[in-house]
Amino acid sequence: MTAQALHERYLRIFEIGHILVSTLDFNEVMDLMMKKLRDIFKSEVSSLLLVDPKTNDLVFQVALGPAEKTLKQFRLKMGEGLAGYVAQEQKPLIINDAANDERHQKNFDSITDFKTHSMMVAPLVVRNVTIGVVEVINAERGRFYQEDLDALMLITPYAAIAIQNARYSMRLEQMVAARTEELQRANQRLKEIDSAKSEFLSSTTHELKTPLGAIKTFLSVIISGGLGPVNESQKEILHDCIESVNRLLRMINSLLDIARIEAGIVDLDIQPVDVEKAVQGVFRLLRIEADKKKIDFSMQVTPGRVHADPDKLTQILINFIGNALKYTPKGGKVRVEADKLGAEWRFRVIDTGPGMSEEQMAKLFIRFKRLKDIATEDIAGTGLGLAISKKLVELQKGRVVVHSKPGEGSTFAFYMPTSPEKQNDLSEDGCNA
Amino acid sequence: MPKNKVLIIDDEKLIVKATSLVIRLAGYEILSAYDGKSGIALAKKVKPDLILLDIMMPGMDGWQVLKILKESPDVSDIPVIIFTAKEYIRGKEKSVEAGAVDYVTKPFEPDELIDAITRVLGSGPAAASQ
Repeated sequence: MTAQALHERYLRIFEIGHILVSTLDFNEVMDLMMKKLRDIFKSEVSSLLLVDPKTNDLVFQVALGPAEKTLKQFRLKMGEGLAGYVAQEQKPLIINDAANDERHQKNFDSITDFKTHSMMVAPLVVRNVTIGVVEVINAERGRFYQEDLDALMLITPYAAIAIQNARYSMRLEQMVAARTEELQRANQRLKEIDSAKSEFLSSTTHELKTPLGAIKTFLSVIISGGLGPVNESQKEILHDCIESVNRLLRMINSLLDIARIEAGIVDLDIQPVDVEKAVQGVFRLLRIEADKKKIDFSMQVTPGRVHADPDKLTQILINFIGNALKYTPKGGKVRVEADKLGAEWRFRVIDTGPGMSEEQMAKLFIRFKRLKDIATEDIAGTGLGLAISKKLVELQKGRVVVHSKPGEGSTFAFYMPTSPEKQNDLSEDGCNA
Repeated sequence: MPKNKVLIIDDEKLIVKATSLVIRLAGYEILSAYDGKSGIALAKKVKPDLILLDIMMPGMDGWQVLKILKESPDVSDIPVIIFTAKEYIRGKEKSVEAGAVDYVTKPFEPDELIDAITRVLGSGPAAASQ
């Protein structure tokens, strides 16, 4: 071979390198590579066999030449035929008289109606593992020389790496697809669980409240004298019964509130709410309570609108103001304020109750933690109110802040956005709960 | 003097019993049905002056019953109060949009329910003279 011809051959071999790193589809790259090899070595047949990682058999990936389709259905065991031999030994071979070589699979020739005489067979090896075999075949005897094999061996290591990489990336894609499918299934399952949970909560509400509701109505009818005269001591007992039922109903509502919040199924109906009306409504409702304890109960509200769920806002206000009235001793003071501070509305409930230590404040919003060390024995409650209120404030993009010292009363404040865009970005010192 | 008739449609027998007691003591005549289908049939038969309608019922729910009542010319004029254990966001508005006149949640205060009935039927239990 002339130096000029050799140079041209190497150039064409390097072209295969460009194909291997191209963005073409794997099958196209392999086809193109084998076509180039067939042409470079002026041959009639070229084939690429890859090791099936599951069975360790050699499978035709490319079979250029006669009977391509038939060949593609064949599998060779490791060690079987010349390709199998090369795969096993990991050494390339030149055969110039295949008909007289025992290792040659002669039935291929009869299937393909092609008489193999000259062959170059090179293994594709990555990190000592055979991943396939390249064959270049001719029907004439004595076609291949060592320089041909040397040229072929220039490209096979890169072809091997390219094939391995393509397999990895295909496997990766399959894994990603499988994981994605798994995630979608898990997601669907979560949705089902969520809706089952929500279903359970609403049916539980129904089941628990219905009999209590009936008891309450019956008791109310009896106490009203509708079914006959009731004396004072009977009335007192009936009144206690009704109060107990109310307490159970409140407890159920609180538990369901917490469960709904934790399950993430709270329906919020956020809208502009008239602050004065909202606070006044609660103020009127709790006035009776304040009067009973002779508490100096006052409110001061800046007119305007807050962005909130009106029912939830009322629930939070009732909880905060109700707590203040509950814990403030007779003759004390409870003051409710609402004012606009920049992008937020600040609601404050200031009491002259016993106040709290830092340690006590840390436990404030933990479910069922009532402050036992303050004289709360005779104060009814579920220990859920503050936990619910805090979550409800936060669900509406607000935050709760508490200031208190033992003996100096407490201030419970919550901040709510003036418009839906405003986030809870203001900070203030104190117990930022 | 004939009394105004109130029909309660609710699958909870205990609730029907308790509610009926309250309404009867307030001086109204009370009829009851435990499911949507028989409630509609009874409404068509006796033409009550007011219907108290539960929402969460097996089979046909209250919203479906309300739709059928409002689409039936012979009973479409009968005022309906939604009577529900499930609290809905803007429950009153939603009920009015669906064709009801009011919305009362259970458990209820007896006075609250009687007030709601009185608001619909006028001052008291006696039926308007025909």
